[in-house]
Amino acid sequence: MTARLLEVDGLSTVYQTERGTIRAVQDVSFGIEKGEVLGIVGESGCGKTTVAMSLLRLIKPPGKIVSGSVRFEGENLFARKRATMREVRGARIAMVPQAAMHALDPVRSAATSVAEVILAHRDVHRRQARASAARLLESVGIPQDRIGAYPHELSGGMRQRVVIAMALANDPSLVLADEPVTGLDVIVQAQVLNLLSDLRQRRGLAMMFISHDIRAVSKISDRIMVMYGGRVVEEGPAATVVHAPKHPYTQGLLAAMPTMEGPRGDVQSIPGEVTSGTDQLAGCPFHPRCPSAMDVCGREQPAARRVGPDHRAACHLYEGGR
Amino acid sequence: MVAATATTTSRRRRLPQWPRARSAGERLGRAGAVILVLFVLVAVFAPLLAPYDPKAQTGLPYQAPSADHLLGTNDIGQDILSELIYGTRVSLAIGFLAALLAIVVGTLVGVVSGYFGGLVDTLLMRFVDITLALPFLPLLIVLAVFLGRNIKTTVLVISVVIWARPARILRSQVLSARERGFVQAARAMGGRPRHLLRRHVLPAVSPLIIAQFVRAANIAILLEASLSFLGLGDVTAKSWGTTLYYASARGAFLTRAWLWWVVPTGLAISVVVVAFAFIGYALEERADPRLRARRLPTLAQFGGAPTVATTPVPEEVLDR
Repeated sequence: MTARLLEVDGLSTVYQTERGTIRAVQDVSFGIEKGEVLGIVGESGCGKTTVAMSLLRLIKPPGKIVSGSVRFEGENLFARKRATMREVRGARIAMVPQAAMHALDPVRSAATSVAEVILAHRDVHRRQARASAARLLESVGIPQDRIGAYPHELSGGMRQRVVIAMALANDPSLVLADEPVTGLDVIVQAQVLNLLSDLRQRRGLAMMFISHDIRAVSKISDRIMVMYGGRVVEEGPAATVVHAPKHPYTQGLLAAMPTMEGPRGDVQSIPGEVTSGTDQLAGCPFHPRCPSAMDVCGREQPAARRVGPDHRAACHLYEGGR
Repeated sequence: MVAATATTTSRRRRLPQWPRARSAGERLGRAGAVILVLFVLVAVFAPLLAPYDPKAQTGLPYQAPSADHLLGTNDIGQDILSELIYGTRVSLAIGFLAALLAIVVGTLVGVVSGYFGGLVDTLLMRFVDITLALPFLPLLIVLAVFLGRNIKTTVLVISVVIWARPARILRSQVLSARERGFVQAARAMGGRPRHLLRRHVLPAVSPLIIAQFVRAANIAILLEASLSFLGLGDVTAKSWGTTLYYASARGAFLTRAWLWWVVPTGLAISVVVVAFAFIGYALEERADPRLRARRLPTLAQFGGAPTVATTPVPEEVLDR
């Protein structure tokens, strides 16, 4: 395999709380190629955001990265001095943070916000930064007469576009998009998704696209990684994961989404709740909710297994080379 | 085109026009502001307003009010009204300066403490705790005696006593401000800590800084009056407190002289303090809209008929 853009190996992050240690991310490994879009899917609290924050080392106490390594463009990010992580954030790896509504400072206009991201990383004159900001905002579809608008004067979709422009400001090679379309109505969602795939094609951008909406993710991703309880339960090419899911959790996620095609059926929910992560369950984190749970599931943590070409799942159902 | 019409209408609505007060607090605040502005004008134009030089002997000692001396004269024949007018300068100036100094220090400590947390926070806050726990009047008196009597030390001493409270209050706001989405986002985008603090955190807490400043100025004026009343003020620049000190020391309370020597000055202090309190109340209400619930604004005050958001479908959607 050639050198990947991003290589995450055995990442584990915990939160030490008064009620015990929450294992938010456990032994997660994955990679992203240049220009590839990886979708990360899972319910709230399954560790998606923690993975993204861990890559940028933005985990604050009581959270802590306990093990693993992150290689980005051949460099081990965890070996960097803490103070110099700033040079990576927003420059080489950019983040589109969760909830664009709140990600913009209410007292900064769109153009100023974008210009400030440029100024944070480049030694350019303020005027130049503003000029590039204007160009960027235009490229994400903000009309030129709106670039001086303040966040409260912009719609949700517009704000999301501004935040995307901020992420792109320094030509990053990887963008971590954390729930970029959550909370937008479907039409705007579609627009933002189109914008992101546009940008991806124009700039050859690699992306990590985090969402709980597996269908939104499948529209834009090359590969999908499904997480549950801080672990990767299934990973494979987007089409395969959506059309031939192997892990019962992925199947449940897909069944919980209403579809437009095919016969009309009931929307299924997955019984039970996401594990809190404090009480360390023996075995598979999903077994208390799993419809096809077996005896082994409560005893042993299933290892990730190949279940098809470039397709892996961590489930005892596929133990023994099925 | 739709956007253009919207801008023109809102621009028309923004024509200079005195907006109506939206709550009882806002009305009080405006009353306070008017009173304060009056006092500031008196302080600024003292030489024009005062009938005499307050330091010159312009009449016989211990005169009751007359046409020549509206508030009578003091023990050495100085005009009390002129003293009151010039005293406004000293009292307000010391109040504002001490409050400014206290707020600058308090903001610095509060913001650094709240933003960086950890050991810095613990050390600074224990220091704040100690300052808050010390009984302030005795501390004030001891410091004033040690440092000597002049305006500079009075300002310094007062700010030493009052900086801790704003520090603590601002710290708690910074704790919440630093977790705000846009601050987190700025951090994720690689903003320098100094940039985050100055450009994002500070503006987010600035309404509170202003409210705390008003409060501090209020307390500073009272403290200055207390100090001067105890004879620890600057004798060369007579403030309201100094006037009261002399009134008390020269026996104004033993005769009817307290009516024109003590009451007007005392009233001036009270009125200014109340004005500050009103302004502070209105500012706090603005910073925390939950306090505004007493009377809900009517639709008319929001600018006429309810405008239903009629967002046109963007053309790019129709294209697809």
